[in-house]
Amino acid sequence: MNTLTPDELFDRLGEPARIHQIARYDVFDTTLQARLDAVAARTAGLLHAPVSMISVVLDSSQFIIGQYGVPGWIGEVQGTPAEWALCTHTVLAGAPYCITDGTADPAHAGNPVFAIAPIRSYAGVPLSDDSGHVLGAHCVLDVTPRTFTEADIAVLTAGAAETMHILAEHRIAP
Amino acid sequence: MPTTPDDSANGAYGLRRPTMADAREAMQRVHRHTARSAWERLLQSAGLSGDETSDEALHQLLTAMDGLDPVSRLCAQALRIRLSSHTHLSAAHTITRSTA
Repeated sequence: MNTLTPDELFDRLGEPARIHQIARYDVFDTTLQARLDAVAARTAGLLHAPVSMISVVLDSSQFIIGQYGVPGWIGEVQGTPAEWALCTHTVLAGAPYCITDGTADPAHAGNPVFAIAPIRSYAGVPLSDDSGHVLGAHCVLDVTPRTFTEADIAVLTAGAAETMHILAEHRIAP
Repeated sequence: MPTTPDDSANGAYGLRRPTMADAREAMQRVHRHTARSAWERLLQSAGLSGDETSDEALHQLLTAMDGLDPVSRLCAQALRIRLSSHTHLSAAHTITRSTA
């Protein structure tokens, strides 16, 4: 992602087939969001992390559709610009993505999100449906440097599977 | 939606406030082959020419995007998040400067 300009990133994230796939789900439904808040809260508890999120990554922004402990205005706005969103890395990788210490990692130290929010570490897993597209990510954030384990990723993966099950119940187009 | 020197200085960490032009680019990105007709339908629905530059016109456009189709609604949401992020960051910067 570091080699992409913002416009290139938005074109990649905004690929019509992927956005159409996200649009099959009623991600604005507050009942759905409350259910996903509960998934995020449980993941945060299991991993002893202060923050957990479930988000879809749109063409130019991350849209948080389930959250626990998200600090300040980011939780209120329900997202961040896509070029700052750590979940963008997970979506582009299509695989679990971890940051042990964002402020010390040359790949991430310049990301404003580490200055805006009191976070240092990140672990996320992709949200993929039967179309094969990666729609978003389920993640945890911590306020201290942290090396995430295989067991941590397994908890996130279970949360992502539950998320996709819940999303399937809120599908508005076949 | 790249950064500009002005916005780098305004405390929004280089985030530029979205405009009508950004909305048009976003519609082209996600609708691709049908983008032109989608944009024309959108402008008609919003009662806009597409040349407006005000925040008010952009909000009017975003409201129309919500009703156009589910893909355009997601596009509008992405732009709203960028708008709100810019507003919060700029406001925080203003408060910090005024109390410094």
